[in-house]
Amino acid sequence: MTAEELAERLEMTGSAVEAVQKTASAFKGVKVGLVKDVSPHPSADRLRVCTLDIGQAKDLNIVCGAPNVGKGQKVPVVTVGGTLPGGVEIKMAELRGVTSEGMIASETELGLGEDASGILVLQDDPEIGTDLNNILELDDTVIDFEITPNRPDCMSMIGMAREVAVLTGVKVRTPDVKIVEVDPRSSTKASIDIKDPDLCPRYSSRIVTGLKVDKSPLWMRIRLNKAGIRPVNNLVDITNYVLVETGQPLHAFDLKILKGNKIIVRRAGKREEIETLDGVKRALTDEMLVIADAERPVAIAGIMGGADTEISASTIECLIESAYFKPSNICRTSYALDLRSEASSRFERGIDPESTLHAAERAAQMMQDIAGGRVLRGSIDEYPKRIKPTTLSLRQERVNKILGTSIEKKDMKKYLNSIEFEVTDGPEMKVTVPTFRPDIEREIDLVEEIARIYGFERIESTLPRSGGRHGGLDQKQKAVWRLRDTLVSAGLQEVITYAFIDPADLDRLAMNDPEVIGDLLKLKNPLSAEQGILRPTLLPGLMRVLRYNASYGNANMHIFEMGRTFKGQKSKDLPEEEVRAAGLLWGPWERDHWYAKSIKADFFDAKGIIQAVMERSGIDEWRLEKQEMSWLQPGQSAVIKTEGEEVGYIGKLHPAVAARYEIEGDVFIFEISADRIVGQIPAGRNVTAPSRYPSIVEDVAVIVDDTISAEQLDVVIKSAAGHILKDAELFDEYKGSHIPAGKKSMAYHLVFQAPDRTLTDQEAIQGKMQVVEVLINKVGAEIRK
Amino acid sequence: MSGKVLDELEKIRKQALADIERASERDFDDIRVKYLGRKSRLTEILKTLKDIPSEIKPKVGKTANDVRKDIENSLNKRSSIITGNSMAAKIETGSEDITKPGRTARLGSKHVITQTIEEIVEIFVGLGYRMVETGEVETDYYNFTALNTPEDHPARTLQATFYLEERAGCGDERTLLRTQTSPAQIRVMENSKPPLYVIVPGKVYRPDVPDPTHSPMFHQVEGFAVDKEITFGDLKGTLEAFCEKMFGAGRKVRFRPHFFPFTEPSAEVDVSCIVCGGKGCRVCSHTGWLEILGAGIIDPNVFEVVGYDPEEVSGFAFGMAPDRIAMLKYGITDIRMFFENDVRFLEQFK
Repeated sequence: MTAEELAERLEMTGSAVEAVQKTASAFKGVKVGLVKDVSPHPSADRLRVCTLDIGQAKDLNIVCGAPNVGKGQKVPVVTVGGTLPGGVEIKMAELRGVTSEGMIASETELGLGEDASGILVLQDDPEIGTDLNNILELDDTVIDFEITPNRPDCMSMIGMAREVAVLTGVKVRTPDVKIVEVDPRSSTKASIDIKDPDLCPRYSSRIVTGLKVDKSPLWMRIRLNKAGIRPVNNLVDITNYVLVETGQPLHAFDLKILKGNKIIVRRAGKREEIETLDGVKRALTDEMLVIADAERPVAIAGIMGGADTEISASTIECLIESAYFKPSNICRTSYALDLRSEASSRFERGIDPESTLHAAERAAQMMQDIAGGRVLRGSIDEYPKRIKPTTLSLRQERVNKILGTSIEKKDMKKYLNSIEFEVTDGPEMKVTVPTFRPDIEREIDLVEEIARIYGFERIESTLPRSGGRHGGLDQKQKAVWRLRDTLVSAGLQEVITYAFIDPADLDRLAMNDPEVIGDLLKLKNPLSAEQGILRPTLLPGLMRVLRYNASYGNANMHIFEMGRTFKGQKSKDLPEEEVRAAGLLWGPWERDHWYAKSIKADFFDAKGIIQAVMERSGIDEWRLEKQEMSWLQPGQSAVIKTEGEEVGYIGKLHPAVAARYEIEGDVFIFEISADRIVGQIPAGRNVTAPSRYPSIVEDVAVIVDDTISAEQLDVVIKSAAGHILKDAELFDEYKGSHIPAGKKSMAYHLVFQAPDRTLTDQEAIQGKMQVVEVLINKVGAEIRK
Repeated sequence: MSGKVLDELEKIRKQALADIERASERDFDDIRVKYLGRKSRLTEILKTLKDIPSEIKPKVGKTANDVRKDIENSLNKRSSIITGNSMAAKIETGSEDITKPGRTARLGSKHVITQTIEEIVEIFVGLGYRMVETGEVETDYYNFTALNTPEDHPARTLQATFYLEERAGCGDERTLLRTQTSPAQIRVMENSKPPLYVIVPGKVYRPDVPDPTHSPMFHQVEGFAVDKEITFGDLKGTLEAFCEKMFGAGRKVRFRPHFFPFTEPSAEVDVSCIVCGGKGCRVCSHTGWLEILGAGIIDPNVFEVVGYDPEEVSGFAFGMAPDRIAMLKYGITDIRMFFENDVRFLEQFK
């Protein structure tokens, strides 16, 4: 199976793959060579001439300047034609009269580490002539998994190996731990006292003495690098290595610095503090668990060690901590301190309480093998609160009912066994869950395990069998969608802006009357102060869009937004949310065309849109009522009223507001409550059959005071002519020469029609005369000839 | 005498025919009056026939009538020719440059996210789902607790959720901007009984600093079904049907095990790449798959919260981000474009 195939199959059993990355060495043509002989260079004191066997018929002569080269060493030989990192090619060379057929490389030259003091001497007796890549596992594939929070067991090599074992049916082999113990007994060197077993059910440890702090062997450093961990020194690297291998976070204390040779696991005192490894002083609370010696805290349990007791170059003797801490407490402490680490991310999800001792011993063994350590006799393992494996009931029919499958009992058993769950048969199966799976607490968790191992792809696709459902949108939802359609068909472009706005925008708009904006809702943790409050109005968003687009040279804007606005409600947790629609018109309504020149949008373009909304909604009774609003220009500012209810406002943006937004030219806006308009929509419509008889149109033009509104004239005209007047259309308004100052001429098409007969010309003329008479009497109109 | 009248008639005929030949459309009425009118010479001659000696009367009468008919015929003929000519002329001069732009009303359009949401909702309406919309401000209980999210779950931190500041004189529940549309599951289940087939579109919020794939506000469409015998197979079938409608026939769909607090088993759902069809391309990071949905069987804990018996009913839930779907569908590489609202971008989705 290739790495890619493995990744794909693991993906299908629930280990999401973030990336599959090839690692490769940065060098080429480097082979293992045996130094057969070293002789002085005839004409250079600091150079030597080495004879190297690289498994070819003929030995190589290589001139080497490294002080540490010696006979019998196995070393990396860059052969002629080979390259070093950066692409430097090694050529046959002559050094002070001696031909050098290649180069013996140092760690640094190979890009493997920081040691440039001499050539790299290879450990473990690799075979002569082998490509260095093959020895150091440099040409490798690293699979990066996204581990879901429920699977802490997968945050380790052994955990992932178990997942691979499920796929392949192969058994997981874990490394053997072989320790040669020496006297004295560990317990004579240190004691462990768990004061708070509720937060620390288990604390295991081993003590290793005679350590020599140094760099780790190359293979370990290479492996750590692949796991994304920077090598430090052999002791630190070993704890990290075991962490990656087993998932158990370890901590190594320098035993010399530990006061009273005591480990006390306790809650922190109220005013205690500790300087952590990262050099930060942290104040602790009595809800946090610490590891303390006889005098002071030496680590924040499960999160980070203290600076004082850190392993240093002079450490000779250390105590390896391998503990189990209560996950929720680690999580809370880590959150409270805003401090996260590789350790805390594992402890807070739950590690395996049964493998703490194994991990301590594995680390002790590695310290023995590669750091010159001697492991003291016996472990110290305090386990005051034993965590027992969970046993759950499992019903076969329940599994199949939820999954829609017919999986047999023996197969369920097989699947569960493959992930090391023990199953006892019976009318209900009893399943014992290993302690490394803290996420399995209920029957449904077992259903999930069976499903993923059985394979989601094998579950047959069906549709719910139930009848009797009726889907769709309800009347109000449809009306809201229709309102949006109307705004679109009126020529507006929909925009969507953030629901959080800059409180300063309300000042810019002069929209700060509490009556208007209500109780503002502030975010506790906004991304920035400019996104600090929830919008009480859609206008700030539209203004931002206008300014943004104007800055890109757009000459006109016709936009709207539909969305929720927010107002705090007294003695309620949740605010009032209102669905509103707001529109903005700026600049010419149309561009210049070959058939017409552009006309700038004005108040009546905006009003026309409201008219369309009302017409579409079937709302006949509505009007504008002049009202001043601080963000609108007086005289072109009105509230929109339906029968008895205010549903929004319309007007021209106040020039002072436009100036604050640095917008030139007139801006027309409206904002309506979709919720209220939808609430006003009548259940039906009054539909009349169109008349089959012709209509007669008579025109009339009257001169009236400028103060008389079109609405007043409309009311007068319609009251005058009785039912045969079908319509009075204002087709012209004129002010100027021939009309006295303070007056205007208003011209109407009067449409007369009867539903049941053809009107006579006389009837129409009589109707017109009635209209004229009433206009003269009621509004002092003069008839314009 | 008779010769004189006959000569005169011939002269009238000749002159009239010549006039008609030269006439344009507007002259016809004048010609008719001049030669055939009540006061014309021809009419006078016909009126005075009774005074003409009887031996020549028939001849003069016949000639006069012939002249009259001739003039009438020729007038009619000429008239029809001229009318015909002017229609042809109109046609000839009436040719338009049809390549000039047409006269249109301003064409508005819905935001591309709205279009995507409507498309998704309509597919589920077709599958028998009803639409529900709930508030964007939620309590901690509906957004997390009732959805089986542990008290110390990272999603509840200030890094993952926008919280509202407490206000004087309101209750003591923590309020927040919903991080998911899933609270609607709880609200619907609290207020109604199964069977439930519900689709919930809406805005959701998370404190992510905007970058090409993150926005502090984005959209979700949540769907869920609760009924007597809902199975994982039903979830698969439903989402496969959706993907086929949304992305076209022949798409492959795969379900990968995953983890969500309020569903179990949970899955992430991939559809074969809508750009390359599964061969592998930049959009699908050369995997051939696009992650489109999160889904799963509703966790029994959620049913217990709303007072349903998990042994009696079962259900599935799923959620998707229309923003992401629109990005994939139109090859948009930066989610921020949706909320910058550059009209030059938005107007491309008319």
